[in-house]
Amino acid sequence: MKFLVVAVMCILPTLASAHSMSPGFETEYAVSDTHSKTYTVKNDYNFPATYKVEVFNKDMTPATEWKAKKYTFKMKPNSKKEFELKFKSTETRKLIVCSTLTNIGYENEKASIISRVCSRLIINGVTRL
Amino acid sequence: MKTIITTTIALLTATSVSATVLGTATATWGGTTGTFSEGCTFKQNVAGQMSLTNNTWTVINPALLQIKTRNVGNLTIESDDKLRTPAGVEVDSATVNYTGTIVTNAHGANVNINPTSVAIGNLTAGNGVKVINIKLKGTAEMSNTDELSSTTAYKINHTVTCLQ
Repeated sequence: MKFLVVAVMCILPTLASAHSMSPGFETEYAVSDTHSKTYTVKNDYNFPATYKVEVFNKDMTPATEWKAKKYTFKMKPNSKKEFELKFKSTETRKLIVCSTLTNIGYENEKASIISRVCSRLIINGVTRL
Repeated sequence: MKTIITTTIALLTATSVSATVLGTATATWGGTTGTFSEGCTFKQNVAGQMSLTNNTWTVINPALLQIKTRNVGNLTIESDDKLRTPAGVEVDSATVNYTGTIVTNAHGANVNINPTSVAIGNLTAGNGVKVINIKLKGTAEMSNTDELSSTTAYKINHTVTCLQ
C-alpha cells in the first residue's frame, strides 16, 4: 500500500537571527599545567535556546583532559554568555571548541537543524626551563 | 657622447616643464579599519518538510540556512541518519542523501554537495563578508517502515558546523 505521510523535519518555530561564538581561531601559550580560555556565545534567536559545549581534537574525535563549570546552558533570547574552559596544557594541543544548539523555544523542543559554531584553538604547552 | 648627454638633459628638462605646466598631482586619503568580528554567524535556520513514499522520505520544502562569514575556514552539513520523534527519540535508521541541495552566494568558495554531506570550503577566498544561502534538500531511505506509526510526525536531524 502506497501511503503518504507528511512529516516535519522539525516542528519548531522559525529560527531567524543568529547563533555565533567568539573568539575564532587563536594560538595561545600556556604558562602552567592548566590553561584557561573564555568564549562568548551569542543567542540572537528570538526565543530561548540551549547550547552544549563540546571540544574535539583536530580530527573531530572527542577531546579529553578539559573541563567546564557547565557543559550545557540555557540562554534567553538575544543574550550572550561567557563560559570558561580549562585545558590540560603540559604539551601542545590542537583543539576545536564548539557551541552546539540542542534545544530551542519556550517549550524547550529538540532542535533538528543543529547549528554548531566551532573555533580552532592551539595551546602551546607549558615550557619548563 | 656629449651629444647624447645634452639631448638627455634637454628631454628631462622638457618633461619637467611639461609636468609643471599641466599641474597634475595626486592626493590620497589613508585609513585603517578597526577590528571586525571574524567568524561565522547563523542568520537563518528554518526547518524543512519531507514526505514518505514507500520507504523513502523526500524533502518537499527545503530547510533554509543563511550563514554570514568573515574570513573563516569551512562549513559542513551532516546527518546521523536517524529518524526521530519530535521529542528526539530514535525510531529507526534513515540514510540521508543530500543530492539536490542548492548553495548560493558562495562567492569563490568550494562547494561540494555529496550524497552523505555538504562541504563548503575556502571561505576565505576574496574579501569581506559572505552571506551564504543553503536550501537543504534530498532524500532519506529506510530499509522498511515497520517501526513507523500512522499519521505521525518524524524528523531527521542535520548538524551544520561552521569552523572558524
